[in-house]
Amino acid sequence: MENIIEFENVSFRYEADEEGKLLDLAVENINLGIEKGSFVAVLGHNGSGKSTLAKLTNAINVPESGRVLVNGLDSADEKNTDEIRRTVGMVFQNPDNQIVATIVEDDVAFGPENLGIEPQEIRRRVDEALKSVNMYDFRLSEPYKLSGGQKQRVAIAGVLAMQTQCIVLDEPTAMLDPSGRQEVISTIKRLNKELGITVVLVTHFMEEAVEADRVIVMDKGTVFADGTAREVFSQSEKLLAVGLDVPQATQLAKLLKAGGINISTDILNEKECIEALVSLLKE
Amino acid sequence: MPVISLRNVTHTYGEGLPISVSAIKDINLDIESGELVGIIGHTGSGKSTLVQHLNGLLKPTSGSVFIDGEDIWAKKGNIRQVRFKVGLCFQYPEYQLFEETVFKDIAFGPKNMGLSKEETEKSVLAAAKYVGLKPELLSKSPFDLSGGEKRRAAIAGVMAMNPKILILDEPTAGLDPKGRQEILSMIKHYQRTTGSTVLLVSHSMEDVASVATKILVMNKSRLAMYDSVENVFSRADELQKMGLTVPQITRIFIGLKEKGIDVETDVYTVKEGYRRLLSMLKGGER
Repeated sequence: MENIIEFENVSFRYEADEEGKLLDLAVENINLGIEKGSFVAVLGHNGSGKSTLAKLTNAINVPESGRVLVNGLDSADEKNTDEIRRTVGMVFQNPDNQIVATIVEDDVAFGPENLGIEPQEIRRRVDEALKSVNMYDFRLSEPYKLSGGQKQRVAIAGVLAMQTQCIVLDEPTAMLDPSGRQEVISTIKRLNKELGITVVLVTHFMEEAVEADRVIVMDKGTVFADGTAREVFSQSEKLLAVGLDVPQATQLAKLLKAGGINISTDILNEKECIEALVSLLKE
Repeated sequence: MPVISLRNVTHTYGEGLPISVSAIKDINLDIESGELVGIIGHTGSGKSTLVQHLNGLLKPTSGSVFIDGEDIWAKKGNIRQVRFKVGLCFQYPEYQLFEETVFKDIAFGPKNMGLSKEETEKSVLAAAKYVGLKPELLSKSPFDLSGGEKRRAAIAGVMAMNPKILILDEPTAGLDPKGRQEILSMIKHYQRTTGSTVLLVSHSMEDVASVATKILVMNKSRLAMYDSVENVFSRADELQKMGLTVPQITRIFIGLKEKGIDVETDVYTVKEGYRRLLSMLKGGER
């Protein structure tokens, strides 16, 4: 499968502070390919470089050295910026900071309007985008009356209306309640499975990361681990060492194993844990 | 005597207007001194409105709020004292840091209370210690701290007033797992050593399960439950209907029970789950 985003030896640092002191590299020598149609979770402690990485994917950040290619287009070339942002859309943490209009459908139309698209086509795209995040019934609502999860879904619809091929979400559930988190995660899973949209999900929640095809762990600006959720979460000691955690189901299996119980330790979620325990207990 | 009592407290925003909404309705509640209460509820359930009544930021439209048995709105001019007694730390408190140095920022509250220079310094140092801020950071600008350090400095600013009741609104939001764990242990340690009553508003059931002594559930502007952690999490079905959930470990035990395994579902920490399963599995081997 071809890559929609390629990182080639990418390093990046933020601008020097007021005194002109050079800051450390925020990410260093990253080599990564994000496969078209995949669902990738990015984990890492605060300050590990994961948000920086996210912002490098659509030319909000441009590498200090190395290259980021989006569908083969170099993000450092300003001529490519518009095309790259149309290909890779971003959704941020705070739903209140990314909604601009006073009516839901106007907000979703904001992106395509800026692209100069025909009104009928905008109408069609807005309806389709709102339907795909299950917010069509709220198209005439005022955003401030929506819950956090609903606002985040409107933000996702705004990105979809640009016919984005890849959505990068930077901690989209950090400010949401449990049902809001669930709404957002099931929406992005569905967009990935049904519409084939590439998803990059930056998160602090391990239970969200286990849903992904691939998990990338950042530490000190570099890629610390990269593999399937099962490969990554089976190394819980390594994850704990970089300030992360594993899901409770995995923790439980590890403890039982250490206590002399013959249980697999690459359990990822509650369903697998329940199945393993039932077969042990019914033996 | 309970440290916090609410009697028939209702708060209506825009009362008398056609758009009026009651954010909390007819709340009756008694919280005993020294508890660590986890407050959960879906977005818009009334959690923030509720806690803002406890230090007089909001005045009930009807009903009364008692702190230490005293109706906080009975005497004029009393509210200032109530705010010193009940410290409230908002969500993302790091955005509220403003002083030149971390020390001055933490000292802002105690200074305003009229403490002497020595007493203020003592309170600042004690609070910095509770939140685990190294002394050398105190002379820095708060804006030079890392995200996690800023959060701690902001919490220390409320602790430095030595409030009898400390209320924290989502103190772990946006932090990584290690940062969350550190803040939670620090809150637990503070509650245990000072004997203060602590209220913790959170969206994370796992966080609440790991530190709280009691859980308060808000749903659609009403108080839905106020009970021990195991009793609240044993009502998983009801919580689910309110847009909430129970910790993953509890869901595992519920799943086991549904599959016909003879287990109780009042388990809410991994440690406890491990202990019970181990004895069942080891017992089975014999």
